[in-house]
Amino acid sequence: MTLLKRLFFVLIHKKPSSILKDFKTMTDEELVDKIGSSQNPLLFSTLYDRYSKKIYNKCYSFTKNEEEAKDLTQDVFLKLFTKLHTFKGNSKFSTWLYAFTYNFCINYLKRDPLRKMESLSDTIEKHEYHLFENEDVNDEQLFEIKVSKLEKILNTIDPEDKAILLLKYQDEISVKDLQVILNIGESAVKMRLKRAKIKVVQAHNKMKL
Amino acid sequence: MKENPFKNLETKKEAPKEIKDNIMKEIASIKLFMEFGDLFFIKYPSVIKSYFKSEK
Repeated sequence: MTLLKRLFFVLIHKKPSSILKDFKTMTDEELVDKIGSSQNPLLFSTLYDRYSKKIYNKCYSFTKNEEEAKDLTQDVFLKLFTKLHTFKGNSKFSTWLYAFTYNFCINYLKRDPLRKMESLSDTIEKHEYHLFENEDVNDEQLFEIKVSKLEKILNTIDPEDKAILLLKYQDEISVKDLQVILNIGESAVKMRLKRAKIKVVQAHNKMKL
Repeated sequence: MKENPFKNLETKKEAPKEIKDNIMKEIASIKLFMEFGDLFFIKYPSVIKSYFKSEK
C-alpha cells in the first residue's frame, strides 16, 4: 500500500480493512450510490469483485474466446465506471448491469467486420425459413432443446435475440423489468421474445432434418 | 415442466486476475483526468470570476 493511502486512512481514523468491511455489507444499490457521490476506486473494486465472474462469463458466451472475453470484461467495467450515474434504481442493479453488458457485447459483435459477414450470410439463409408471426412458441417447446444444440443455435441467431432470451430465461428477468431496462412497452417486449423463440425453434427444427 | 437448458448454458470460468489490475489503473487515470478537468475548467474559472467580482 502506498504511503499516501496509509496517510489517508490514518487521517480518517479507520483501518482500510474496516472500511472494506463496511462496503461489503452494503447492498449493490447503496454501493452504486456511494460510488456516484465519491468516485472512490476502492468502492468500485468491491463492485467489481461482486460481478466480475458473472460478467466475464456473459462476455465469453458471446465471443467464445477467452482473450476477447477478457478485453470485453475490462471495457464493460471501464464504461460502467463512467456510466454508473445513468442507473436510476428503476430495477435491481444486477438486472441493469446484465442488460448493460449484453448491449456492450452486441455492439462489439456488430463492429467486428468478420462477424458482420457471418451474420449477413445468416440473413440470406433465413429466407429458407418461414417465420409465422402468429405462431406461438411455449416455454415447454424451448426447454425440450438439448443444451449443446441450444448453444449452437444461440450462436447463429442475431445477438439481440440471444440477449433477450438470456435475460428472460438465464437471468430470469420478468417482462416488467425487461420493459424498464430496454425502455420499450410490454407488447414490444413480448413481441421480441416471441420472435426470438420462433427463430430458435425453427433453427432447431432445421437441425433435426 | 422440463429443466431450463438456458441455466446450463452458463459457464463458470474465473475472470483472469489481471483484468482487475488493468481496470483499477485505468480508473485511476480517468479520475486524475476528471479532477484536472474540474480544477482547470470549473474551480479556477470560478475563483478568477469571484476575484474580479470582489475587486469591483
